Amino acid sequence: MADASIEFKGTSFTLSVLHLKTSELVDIRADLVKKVAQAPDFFYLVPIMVDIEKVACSINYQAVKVLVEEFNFTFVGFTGSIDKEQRKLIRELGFSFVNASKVDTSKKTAVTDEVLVEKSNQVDVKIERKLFSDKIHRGQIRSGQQVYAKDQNLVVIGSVSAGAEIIADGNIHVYGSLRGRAIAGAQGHHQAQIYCQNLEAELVSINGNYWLSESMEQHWGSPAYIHLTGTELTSSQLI
Amino acid sequence: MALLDYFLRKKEKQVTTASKAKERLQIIVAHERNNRNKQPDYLPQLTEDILNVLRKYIHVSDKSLSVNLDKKDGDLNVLELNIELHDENNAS
Amino acid sequence: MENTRSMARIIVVTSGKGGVGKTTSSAAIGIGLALKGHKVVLIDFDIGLRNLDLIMGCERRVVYDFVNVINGEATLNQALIKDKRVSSLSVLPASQTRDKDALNKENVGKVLEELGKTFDYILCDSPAGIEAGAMMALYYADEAIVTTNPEVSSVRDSDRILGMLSSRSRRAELGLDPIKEHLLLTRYSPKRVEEGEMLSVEDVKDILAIPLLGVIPESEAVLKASNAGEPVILDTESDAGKAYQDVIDRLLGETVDFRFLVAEKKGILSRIFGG
Repeated sequence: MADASIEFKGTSFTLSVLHLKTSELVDIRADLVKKVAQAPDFFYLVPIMVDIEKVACSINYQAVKVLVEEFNFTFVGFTGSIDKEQRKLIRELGFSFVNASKVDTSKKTAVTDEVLVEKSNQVDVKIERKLFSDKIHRGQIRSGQQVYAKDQNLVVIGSVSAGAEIIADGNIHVYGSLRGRAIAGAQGHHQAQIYCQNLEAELVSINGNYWLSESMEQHWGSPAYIHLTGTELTSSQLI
Repeated sequence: MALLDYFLRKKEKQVTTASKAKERLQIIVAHERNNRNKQPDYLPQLTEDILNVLRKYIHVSDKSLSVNLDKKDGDLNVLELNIELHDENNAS
Repeated sequence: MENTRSMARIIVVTSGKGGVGKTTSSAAIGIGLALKGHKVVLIDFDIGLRNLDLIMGCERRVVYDFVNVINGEATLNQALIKDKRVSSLSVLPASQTRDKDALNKENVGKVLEELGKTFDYILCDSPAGIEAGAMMALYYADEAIVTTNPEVSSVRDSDRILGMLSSRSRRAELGLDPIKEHLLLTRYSPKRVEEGEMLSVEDVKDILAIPLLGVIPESEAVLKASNAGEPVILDTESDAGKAYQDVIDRLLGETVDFRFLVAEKKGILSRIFGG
């Protein structure tokens, strides 16, 4: 109808999904505390789906919703590959259930039935890839200066002197020598990376995990990039 | 012989510039220390002006006049003028 | 300062680190430019410690200083000391006050504006550090000569000063063309560089990334010059004097090859008998 006051449209959104690996609420809460503490602002009011594939039969749905909201997430509904009966039950309890658009079969086979997985991944909060815009800085960044690319990647066309500090919520690229301190993924972006044409930094850090100069021996003085593998920093040759 | 000349010349030069430096420093440091004893900036000019006034009436030389400002006990400032008059029996 | 730009070129000689050769260089460059016929004024921006007058040899002729002029206690004419060797060169000595608020942007700007009417070049000899005197010296600069020793803390401090030049100067604040930066490497010893004991010109250029204005070799002539109160550029036989002469030529736009970068290899005989 023309001139209607409302319209329904199908739109896809990227939502964070919280996969539960245990039905023990105590453990879930403990891990949520740790995870959210890493970047509280990042998670504030984020709409979240809870994937209960692993724990469907044994979980208290109401308690999960309450728990998730305790951490200021906005609870949207449940998801996961579960049988029809369970889905019906969830809906009868008044919760929304949404099928994932793709069924990731590879994940299913890889996953085990452990109640507790590794320390750092007990609660697998899947964050979709964040796309940042670039903040471009032309010129040297001198000792005593600081540049912060908030919610952006930082591209420096020039060198960063010893005693200077560059910070980005996204990635850092230095087209020159990196001799100062470089802090990437400052607000919790784990996939942030640091690239430079000459690695001679005083300190590099990604999402809080840092290296001092002594750890950079492998690629010191060469073009290198630094990224996280789990919680360990790794440097790799750039070109 | 060049060798001997070389040594003599070098030593001479060093003595010369170092002693010149010492001389300059002695003068300037003494001058600045004097200033630090809180003689105000205007004293030299004041001395000059007073001499010019005196010269209108009597014969005085630069050395006839001394001007000093003393600070006694904090608040008290004493400006002291000493004028040495020539013996009138001696001409000029 | 008004919008009408003075015709004078304001050059700051700065470094961050102390004792690297700012005053020696200011004196040499000031005299050098004046000898080429330009009207040059040298200003000592230190607050409390006077140096330029000693190096220029005019210490006994200081009656009024920079702060006297700013406070209206003297006119510029009364405070400026004309050099006895080169009449187109004048010196404005530093104040002996310890009051770091004596200088501010407004009052310094007024003095520079007035000087700009009569001089072609205003050379500001900055004190060491990044406090009031140094910041005032660089604020109005059109060009900066960053004096650096080939030594780690000097290079680091020069880098810091370069950061200040690009962010705390008038040109930076108003978004004008940036200050033209020059690297002046002083106390350079080619022998020690060859031995691997001293940072080379390339090393310093790589870290500071500004154009090289000159390399002044470590020289006994510098001490003799300050002893005598005769800026070293007047010692035309000395390597330092010659190197400063090259600096003048480059400042005035000429392309000059860099000398004194390689250690002289004198045979032992010529060393004994050469003299």
